[in-house]
Amino acid sequence: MTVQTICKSLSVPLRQDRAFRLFTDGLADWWPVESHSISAGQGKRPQKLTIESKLNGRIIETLEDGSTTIWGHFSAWTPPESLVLQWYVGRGSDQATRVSVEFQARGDETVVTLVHDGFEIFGDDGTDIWTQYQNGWDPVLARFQALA
Amino acid sequence: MTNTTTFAALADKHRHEIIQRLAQKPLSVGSLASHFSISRPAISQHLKVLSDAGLVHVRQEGTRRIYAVNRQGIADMRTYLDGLWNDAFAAYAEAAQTLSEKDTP
Repeated sequence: MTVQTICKSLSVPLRQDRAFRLFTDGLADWWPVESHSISAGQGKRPQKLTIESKLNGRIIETLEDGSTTIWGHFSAWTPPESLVLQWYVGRGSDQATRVSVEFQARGDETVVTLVHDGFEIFGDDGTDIWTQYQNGWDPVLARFQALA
Repeated sequence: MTNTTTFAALADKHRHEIIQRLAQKPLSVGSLASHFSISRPAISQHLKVLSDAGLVHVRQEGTRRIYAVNRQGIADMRTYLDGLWNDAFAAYAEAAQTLSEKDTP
């Protein structure tokens, strides 16, 4: 794992296929749009989130005025084991960072591991500063694990 | 800087390109505009959004205003993305728990 990588892992009480489907088909039901969406940036709520659950399928936010913006698309789609999301909220797909999600079956539970990388597109300055800040991530992760 | 302004500030192709340019070296609006097909006022407007989000800062050099990437802002952005996935995972875990409880009446 390089220092620029964000890595998260948690276990959910669902079988692998259902954990995968909840993450993808069910994304609009749980994604915190009130704090993490383009609409939220404008002090509004999105009309809806649309998830095209397939290879090259997109995640689309519909704003209050009916216009749409694309968050990214699935560049790998291997249900129920894994997916890769090219993440480029409102930008061109050539400026994507990469989110990989794996679903590992553990009996009735599933371990979900997410890796967000590809930040080198922000340039060398960004890389330098992220190196300095890597120690700052541990407390954040610890808080997350307590939540999960 | 709030989470939502960061999400929105980077959610534009031109603003994203401006950040990439400024990450290489600090530039005036005029020099920056020469790399883009959009107008100089449009570049200024994008710089204002980026500046409000804390991602770039400006210093006066004689008569010129020089824009540079705010290193702290970039670090904050990284921290923001980290927080984004914390929030998303927490919400996903909650939804999974609810779904699981539905299965066991």
